[in-house]
Amino acid sequence: MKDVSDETLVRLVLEGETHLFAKIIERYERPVYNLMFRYCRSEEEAADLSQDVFLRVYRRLSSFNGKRRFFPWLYALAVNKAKDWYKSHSNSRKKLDEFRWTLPEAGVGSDQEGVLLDQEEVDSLYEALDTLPDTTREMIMLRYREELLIFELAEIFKISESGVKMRIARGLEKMKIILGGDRHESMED
Amino acid sequence: MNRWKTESSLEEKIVNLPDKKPPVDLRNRIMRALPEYREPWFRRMFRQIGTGPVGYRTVGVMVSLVLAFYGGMQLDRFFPGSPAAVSGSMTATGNMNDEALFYLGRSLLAAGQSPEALNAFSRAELLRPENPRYSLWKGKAYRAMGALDKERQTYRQLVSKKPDLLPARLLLADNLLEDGQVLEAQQLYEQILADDPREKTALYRRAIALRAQGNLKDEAQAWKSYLEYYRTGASASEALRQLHDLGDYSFRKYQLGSKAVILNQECLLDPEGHNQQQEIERLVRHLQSQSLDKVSIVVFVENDAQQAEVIAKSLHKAVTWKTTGTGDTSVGLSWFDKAEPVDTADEDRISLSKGVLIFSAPQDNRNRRNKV
Repeated sequence: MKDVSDETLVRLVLEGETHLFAKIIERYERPVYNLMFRYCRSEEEAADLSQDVFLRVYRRLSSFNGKRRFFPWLYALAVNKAKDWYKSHSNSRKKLDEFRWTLPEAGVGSDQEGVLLDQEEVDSLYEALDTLPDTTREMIMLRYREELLIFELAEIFKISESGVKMRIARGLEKMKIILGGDRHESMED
Repeated sequence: MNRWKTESSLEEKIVNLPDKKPPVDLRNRIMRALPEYREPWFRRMFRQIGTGPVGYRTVGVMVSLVLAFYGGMQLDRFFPGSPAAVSGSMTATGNMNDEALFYLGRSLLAAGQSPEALNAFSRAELLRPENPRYSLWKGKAYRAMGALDKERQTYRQLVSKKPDLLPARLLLADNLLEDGQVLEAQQLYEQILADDPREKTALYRRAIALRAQGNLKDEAQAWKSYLEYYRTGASASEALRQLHDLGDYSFRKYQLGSKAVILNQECLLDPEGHNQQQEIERLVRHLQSQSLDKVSIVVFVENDAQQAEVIAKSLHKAVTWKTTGTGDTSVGLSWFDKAEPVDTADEDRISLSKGVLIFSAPQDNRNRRNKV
């Protein structure tokens, strides 16, 4: 079941194998939960919102177009939910760098050591991410962490591909300035 | 701080940024909260017959045989006569006419039973092929099942039979848009708008189709066309947001009292243009719909105080003339030879070389009761 594609899982769930929806949740609970957390900054709220998102996904599974990738479709629903929540709860939001982020344990190989971040770096990065508009921050997270393509981001955020590229480039530029480094290397699709 | 340029790139760091672990029970919570899936009994039966153990299959085959035999006897009882008469009655599904089948299909679709709804619409279509409503709903049933290709095929056939049927053309365009065939979708919307330039859905979705093609200039024009006709509701707000996102501020939303109004700023700033009156009338209608003490109009024209003054005074004159005798609203006026600073949705600040700000405070109503 590990290698079964999302699209096949969706088809099986629609055919009545509802228990397989747990597989879908297993694959995507982490990015969805983190998206919600970055918007609402509360663990309980993020869990509730994630639950709402997955229930909405379940109810709307039959409208999913099997020719497209599942994750961007799911994420678009999640982003809408997050934005809706933010519209009515934007007043008292804590800063991202005020939270305790679980650092991964150091591995053995030197490659892994090269990308491990210390607590100070993590705080700085989250502080810099927090200065970006929510949409730009999420585009950057999706582009680099979830490796979504530009056109998928354009679909999720309902703006043009050039708009996505521009926002990501501007966002990284701003982060770089805040973090005190030079220009980052050019962005590739 | 130099480590950001000497160590791995910023992108790599973002990739490796730690995140939050979801609660361990989240998955179970969601699974417990899932609404119960109601598989139709006949589908469950066929599935079990098709995939179940041999015992199930044998029972299934036997039950089918008994049902077929019993059904044949009943048909003979109720429809004696020629085999042709019998088959004709079967097509009509127990004497249901096309209208009844249509409403049955609508209820099944509303209940989420799309395949059964499709069956009902197909039978209705078979009984009365000249009624386009049945084909339209057949397409909708295909859509609910996620069969975009079949949905499209249904609308294409309908459009080829009835080229002027607006709902079929719109639904076909929507299907193409959703399927990523954006150029063809845009062309269809253009054709619809050539026949009816105010068609709301086509105006809105043409802009989306243009956006999907990355045609930013035409996209902006398309949003403006939408806003020329439609200024209220969520779609108008979204159209305005998209237009601003493209850096075009020809339309703007003005908060006046407790309500907001979208106005064409370009027209407001053009005292010679005949459309200025139209925008002022829209503004005045909005002012008259609520009680406001004072409305302030501020005009910005970069490096041209004289032009700013001319525009400001013409706006003031037009608004006061139209509001005279209709209430206690006074109109304040100011102008600047500077660009107008505007905050974008991205929290950036841009400057408009020409701009008009209109704002107000709600009227103090002393008779209003304070409610807790």
